[in-house]
Amino acid sequence: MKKAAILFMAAIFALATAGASAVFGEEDGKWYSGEIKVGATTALDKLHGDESGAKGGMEYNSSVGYKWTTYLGGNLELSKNGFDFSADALYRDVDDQEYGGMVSFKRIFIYEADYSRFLHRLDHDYMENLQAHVFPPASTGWKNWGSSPDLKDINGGKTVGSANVYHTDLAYDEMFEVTRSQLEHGIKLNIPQIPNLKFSFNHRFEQRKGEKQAMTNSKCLACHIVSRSQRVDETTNDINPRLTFSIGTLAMEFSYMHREFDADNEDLSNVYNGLKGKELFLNRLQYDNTTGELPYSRTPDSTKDTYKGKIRWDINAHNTFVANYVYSQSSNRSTRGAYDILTGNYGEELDLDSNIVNAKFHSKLSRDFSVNVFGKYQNLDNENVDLEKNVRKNPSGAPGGGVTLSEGYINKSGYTYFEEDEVRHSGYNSDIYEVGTDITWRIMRGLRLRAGYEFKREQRNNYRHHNVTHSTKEHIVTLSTDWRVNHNLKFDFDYKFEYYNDPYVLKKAECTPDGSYGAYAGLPAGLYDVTRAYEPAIYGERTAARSNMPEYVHEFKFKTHWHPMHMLTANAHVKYRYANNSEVDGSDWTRNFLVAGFSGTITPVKDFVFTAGYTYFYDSYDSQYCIAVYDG
Amino acid sequence: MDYRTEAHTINANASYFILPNWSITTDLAFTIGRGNITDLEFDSMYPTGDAKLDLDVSAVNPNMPYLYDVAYLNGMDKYSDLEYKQLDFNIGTSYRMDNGIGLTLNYSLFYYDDNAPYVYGDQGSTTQLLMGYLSYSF
Repeated sequence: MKKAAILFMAAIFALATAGASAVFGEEDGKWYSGEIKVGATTALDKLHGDESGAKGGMEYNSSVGYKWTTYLGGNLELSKNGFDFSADALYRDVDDQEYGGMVSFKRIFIYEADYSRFLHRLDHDYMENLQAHVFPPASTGWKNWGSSPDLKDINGGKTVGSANVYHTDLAYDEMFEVTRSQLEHGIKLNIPQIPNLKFSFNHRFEQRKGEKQAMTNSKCLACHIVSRSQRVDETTNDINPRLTFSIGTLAMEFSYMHREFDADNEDLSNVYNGLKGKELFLNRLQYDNTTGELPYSRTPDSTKDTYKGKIRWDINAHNTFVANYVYSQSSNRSTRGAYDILTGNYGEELDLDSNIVNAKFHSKLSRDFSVNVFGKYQNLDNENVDLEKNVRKNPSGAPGGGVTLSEGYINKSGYTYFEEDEVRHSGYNSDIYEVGTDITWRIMRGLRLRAGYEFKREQRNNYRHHNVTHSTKEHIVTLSTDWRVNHNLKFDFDYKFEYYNDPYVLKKAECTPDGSYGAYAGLPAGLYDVTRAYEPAIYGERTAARSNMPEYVHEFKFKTHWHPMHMLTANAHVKYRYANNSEVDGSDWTRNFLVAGFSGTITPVKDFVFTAGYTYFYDSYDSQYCIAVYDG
Repeated sequence: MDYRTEAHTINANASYFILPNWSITTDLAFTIGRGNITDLEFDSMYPTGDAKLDLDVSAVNPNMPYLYDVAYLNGMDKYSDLEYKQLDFNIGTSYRMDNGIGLTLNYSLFYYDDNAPYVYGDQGSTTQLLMGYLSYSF
């Protein structure tokens, strides 16, 4: 690419010095223009390799990784006899490049292309929060790990005990970064003989290459997390043909988008420990070292197809009707291989289908009144997933004999669900209906009032499987004014009230409504009682509902613009949003959100402009959780 | 528990044409951001008498009296802390001669002070860039 940039610059330079007219023919007026830029950038404080996390403010800046980078840029425009050409380029370093171009012939045929490339520094999770330890007294003989620099934050840097949850970062010194490049290009055809018909075809190619952090369990237990570096190589291809045509007052548009996402990332896998000497626990694991390598950190390939149809009918000068239909299907292609639960293959693609229909009618009833009426229907249908369990028996010589987990446990209630195949129903499946209207009234010159009402119903089809609200009805009332007092002063005020009848809640989120265990009898006493498991002993006993969605919302917005004199302009804005949900057990869920600010521009003399502003941001919410702590 | 984020941002920019073909431009943006959990109440409930969420030296837990004592869930209430200062400052000048040749110089300062690093480590840094280029318009 650097060579391409240099060649492009050389071409512009040749045009500039030899004269574009000598290249493109006779000169009759200025039909070409351009600019070339040649320079360099130096980083006075280069970002060092050991500052892998030091990306504050420089998450997307690659120049700070080099002492010197070039600065090569330019643009060129040619226009003659209906032929138009423009191009621009900027090369700073291999990970910071931008190019664009356009070719047009009498605006009948237009080709446009843009290419950009930039670096994205990714997070490196050092996992230092995963270091919970127990502190056994020395007399018990339990292992003490002693003082460790890695554990200096624990117990004041003194002796610590065995790990409950621990971590190992096997890529501690590595920087994770991905270079993203994108090419967007397309043609437009405007055929003069068919002025009502327009056709375009666009293609987008996106590539992400680099290294990212991948995590999995260690070879032994889920409470020891390890991370490694994983090579990333992902590509996305979109093709998007579009056709628009009009007949009289009727305009129609049809488009199709096909997207292919391919992840050719490094295949990571892990061989976990065997259970030599601990065969008693074999029936508790679906897989161990005898299965060989087990995959982790996989990103599935996917495909998305979207079909859109749009119609606009200008019924007359005062009335307009617009309607849209969108159908899309997203498919996980990585599941269509021969059925293999270990690799995630399902024997077929997993699909998510979506249908959206919306329509809007606008009528200008008089010079001072206009009204909108609109409606929308959306359907989401995500495929169910069949889960097959790998049920194993202990070796015949193990304590208790060669039994499965349920056979070995006291199974007083017939709980064998953890060994039975099951169907996982998607929480996406829903039907959403929306209707609304709004009216705009021009009360007097400079003062407009707008009022609206909207009703929305969201129906979740698999609510029973997820213990969530079945149907939520949403009522939204809006009221807004804009008042231009005079040429120098303007106010905008907006108020919105949202009321959710049966807001979205997770019905078995917490222990009991009063936050206590209430009548909960605790875990079954028998260590080998299957009902002692998290489900049903913990999750199944939760009865209190919680949510982070509102029951009602008040939102206020205010803006003003003041231009008292030619040299001074001032703006101020406030947005406040209060949300509350009392339809939950325990304390109400509440949220307060505020953004406010002001800015001003002053031009004391003709050639001097000064602008300054201040913004305040505040966001707070109350939450309540019930966390089951593993005791084992 | 409550979670709160708060930020103050000031920004300013100025441009001045010293001569019709010579300009100077500067801009500055400074943000102070904070975020933290407040009112963290870690109620330990142990219906079976398994008092492992608090110090218990009784016979209930003879081996691990401190197991899951919330005091040893080190830094838990600090995980969500956010406290940073960020300054972006640029100043540049551009001079263009009548024959289409121009010179542009720009200085940039990026300062980020991370006072409450989370699992991603200290993201604080100071970086300065000096950029210059010659241009020719035709």
